[in-house]
Amino acid sequence: MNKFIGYLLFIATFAGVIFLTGYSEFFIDRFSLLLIFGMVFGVMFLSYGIHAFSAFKYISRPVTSQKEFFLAVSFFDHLSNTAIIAGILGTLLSQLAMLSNVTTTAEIYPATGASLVSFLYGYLVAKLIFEPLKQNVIRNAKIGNINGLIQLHIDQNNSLPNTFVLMGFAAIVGNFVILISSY
Amino acid sequence: MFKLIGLFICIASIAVVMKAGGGFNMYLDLPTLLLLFGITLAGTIVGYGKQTIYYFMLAGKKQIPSKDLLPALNFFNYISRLTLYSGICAFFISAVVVLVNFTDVKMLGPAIAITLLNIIYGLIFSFIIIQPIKHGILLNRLNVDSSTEKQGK
Repeated sequence: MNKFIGYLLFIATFAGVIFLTGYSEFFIDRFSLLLIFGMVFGVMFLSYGIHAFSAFKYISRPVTSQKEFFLAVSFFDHLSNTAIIAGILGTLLSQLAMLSNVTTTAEIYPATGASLVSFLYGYLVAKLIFEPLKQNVIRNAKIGNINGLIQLHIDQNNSLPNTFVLMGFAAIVGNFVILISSY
Repeated sequence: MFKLIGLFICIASIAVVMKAGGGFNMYLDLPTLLLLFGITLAGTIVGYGKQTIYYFMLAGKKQIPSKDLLPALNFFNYISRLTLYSGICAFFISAVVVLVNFTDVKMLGPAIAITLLNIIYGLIFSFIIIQPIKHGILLNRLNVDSSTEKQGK
């Protein structure tokens, strides 16, 4: 019930903001959607193989051993990281296409804006779908010493720069592209 | 089998987006690839030396000795981070090269586009090659009994 209220609130907020600004058609981009879900499902099967299906069982069922805990938590953590990275990848791919194709300065600003939609999608998919599932697994776990396990999980999955570093970097690249291309 | 399907889905989705952006030729550049792999290889050798080969051989094995599990995870995390950072590093190197040789405004757009390719290669390499190997080791770690997990704490 709480989750339902949360999602409803979120969707209402976003829909309100998007439709009030009147640029709703700019926020729909099927290629970014395809890239993000393709990368997420592809990387899911590529990294976990047949175990991917067993990880999804723990959405509704509490984990009872360390083995199940590590499988479920690293699975959802990896998917949320992948969604963010796929968003950044989509932004960069469309900025590259824009820089190679666009000739006049007036076209550059809308194209840059459209390229950032991919980043938004990736971040939303990560933080609204996979991160709640991960927190769900941690919250419902029925094993002792959960803090030690979480710390161990963080230690052995320390494979990405901080999200804030990535976001700051994406902002720098975006500004750089706009600045250089508006010469 | 599932891993092949996953690889195919990843490559297909990236290829569709590339095709929609205007052809594959735009996204291929050999010097960029060389720069990225050079920096990554150098960082790996500086960090781990001869052990690099050992850990990559370890990834192919079915049964990994329990004392090697956490160091191997750490190694692949290190390479994954290193690839992203070397993409960023290569981006700045090529941006400097482009801006120093700046003569014509019309050539600037495509030249900057090539510099962005560094980061794209870094992300793809990290998430399609290194991360699956790391998670394979993680799954291998899950199959050993809980006595090894106590060592990790």
